[in-house]
Amino acid sequence: MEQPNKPNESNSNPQAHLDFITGAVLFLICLWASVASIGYWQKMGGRFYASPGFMPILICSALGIMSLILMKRSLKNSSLQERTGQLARAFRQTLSSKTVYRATIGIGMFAVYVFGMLGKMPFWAASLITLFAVLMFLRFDRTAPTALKLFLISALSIGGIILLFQVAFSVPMP
Amino acid sequence: MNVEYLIQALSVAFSPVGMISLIISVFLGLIFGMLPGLTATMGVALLTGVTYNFDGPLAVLVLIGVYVGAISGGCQSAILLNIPGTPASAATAIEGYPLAKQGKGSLAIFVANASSFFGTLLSVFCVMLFTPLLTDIALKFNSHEMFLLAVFGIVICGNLTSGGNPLKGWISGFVGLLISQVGRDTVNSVARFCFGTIDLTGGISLLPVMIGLFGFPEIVHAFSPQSRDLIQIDSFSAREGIAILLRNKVNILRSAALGVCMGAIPGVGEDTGGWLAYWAEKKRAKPGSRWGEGEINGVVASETGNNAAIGGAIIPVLSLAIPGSAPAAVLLAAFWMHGYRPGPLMMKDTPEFLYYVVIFMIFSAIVMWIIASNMSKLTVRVLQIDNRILMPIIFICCVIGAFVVNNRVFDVYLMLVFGLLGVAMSYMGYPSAPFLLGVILGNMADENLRRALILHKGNLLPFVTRPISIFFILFILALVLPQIPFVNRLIAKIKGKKHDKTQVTT
Repeated sequence: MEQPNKPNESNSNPQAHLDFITGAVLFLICLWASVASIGYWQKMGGRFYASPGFMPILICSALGIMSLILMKRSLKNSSLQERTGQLARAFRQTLSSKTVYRATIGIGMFAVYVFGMLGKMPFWAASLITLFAVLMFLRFDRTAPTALKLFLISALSIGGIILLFQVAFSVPMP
Repeated sequence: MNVEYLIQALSVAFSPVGMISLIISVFLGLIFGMLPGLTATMGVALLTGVTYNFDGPLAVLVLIGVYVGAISGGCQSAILLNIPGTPASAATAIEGYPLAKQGKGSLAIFVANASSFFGTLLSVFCVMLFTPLLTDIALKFNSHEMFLLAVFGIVICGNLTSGGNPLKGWISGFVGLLISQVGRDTVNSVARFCFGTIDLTGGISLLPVMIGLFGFPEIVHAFSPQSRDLIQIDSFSAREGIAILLRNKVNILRSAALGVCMGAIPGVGEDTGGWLAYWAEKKRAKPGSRWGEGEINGVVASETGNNAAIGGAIIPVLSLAIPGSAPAAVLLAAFWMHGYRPGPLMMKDTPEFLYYVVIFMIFSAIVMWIIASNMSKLTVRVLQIDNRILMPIIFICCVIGAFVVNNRVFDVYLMLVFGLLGVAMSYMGYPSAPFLLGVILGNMADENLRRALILHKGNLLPFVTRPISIFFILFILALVLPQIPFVNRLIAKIKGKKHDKTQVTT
């Protein structure tokens, strides 16, 4: 994916804007997890070091400090405004990127398969439909196989997988 | 040496089912290793699902076979395509591809396969020697040391796998530790971070996390168009290949030693073993050598190093239940799935397991060398398979692999979620190995820390009075302190003052 950068910005860390948002998100997660962990201690009672909240709080403390350091490093030679501006530009560039578009559609197809089809219809049917749809979607250029070939590839692949896993090795299917 | 256990292991390996399974698993491993985008981790993870109903020893044989095959198979695409099939063969591509362009591709593959064989064999010797030793040392560990071992593993893994940015490596490791806290804790059975979901109370299974983290980014990568420049296979003289191997005896021994050491460091693994061995051989470059333009010694070094790391990675798996690499982590999960309990008590409870692993590794290396040396024509065909067709099929296999662990669709959901996390981590420069190590070691760290504090009523003194604890603490500080700017400035100031004093006295 393209990295957004104004001509006069420091190029020493091209992912500084991502580090900034990651640090911020991690810090918030650590805060939330720490509060939840204190709740586990209060629920359990007893010594703090013996409670189920002790280790999560230790982890969150360390992670919180590291995320603050990450945010501080990401603001080196820059300012909060500049980083948020960089983030906004990166977001716009990401939305217009063809690679990201293709990857998002593909991931969306996999998500529909996993969350919407698995367990709700026979595994072979869900897998065949999804595999064929993904292969058709990935058929970028004229040198790629025809739709019929892709359907045959999908059917043979799913058949082979069922034969190998379910029939030969008695592996349960979703 | 216990002859009875040796015979047991040999009987599994020599049985008709064992032999056929081994040949198929090594072959599949070579295919996995050879195809860019498919890794040894994925290969072992997917085959774990296939071995679900296998007998324990047979399952171990199959999984070790695919592990050895996958690490060895990466050299084929590294040499012919300049794209390493697995990260472990990245150093091989630097010298192997120029050799292939000079018409010496077959020679390079022959030498690479032989080096892989020797690397694996030498590492087996280290497994036999060091596993019992390390197990004996591990039996002296109590809860304090086990907790510090977990922290040490994550810190060193974060340092070595983060590409010069240890902070990101440590963040990755600690996020993994946090993820491992999901579910019922091992001391009080209190449900943590379960959000009222029964599926989460059992914790997060390792295999879906691994398949998602390591497999999904490669599958998503198939969505971007890629081109491959495949060099055709030529003929070569076996005599020349053997002469090269004999000339590189010392290189092979040194690379194997380095590979074993790198493999034994938690989470680091085969690619670092290959790189370090390559670098060590390159440092001894004589004038007139052609490093970067097709130096065959480089191929020998990197392939010996990366395969030796297999044994190195298995040593801590067997003795400490801590994986030395990502494929070793999957192997560990598979061992648990089949009822084996590697760790400090392994030599007492199931000592025959060490013999199984050693014999199976030897057989895998032999079968790998035979198959790899004879599959050159198939290699060319396999490397021509379009990833855009292969990867979606692999995704379907990943779904089955994630499902089979607990027979729950929820694990497939987890695989996808961690897969998306893996894509994000890969894009933002966070290494996955420390994250995985954190997930594996989190519960061990939690249980041992709380046990240590409960037994000593909250007293932290044993952490700084027990010799092994002090060793771990010093090692952790040695890794962490140099990353703190204040400490670096202090060290620079002290060095500057010493330099001034020396100048004054002279």
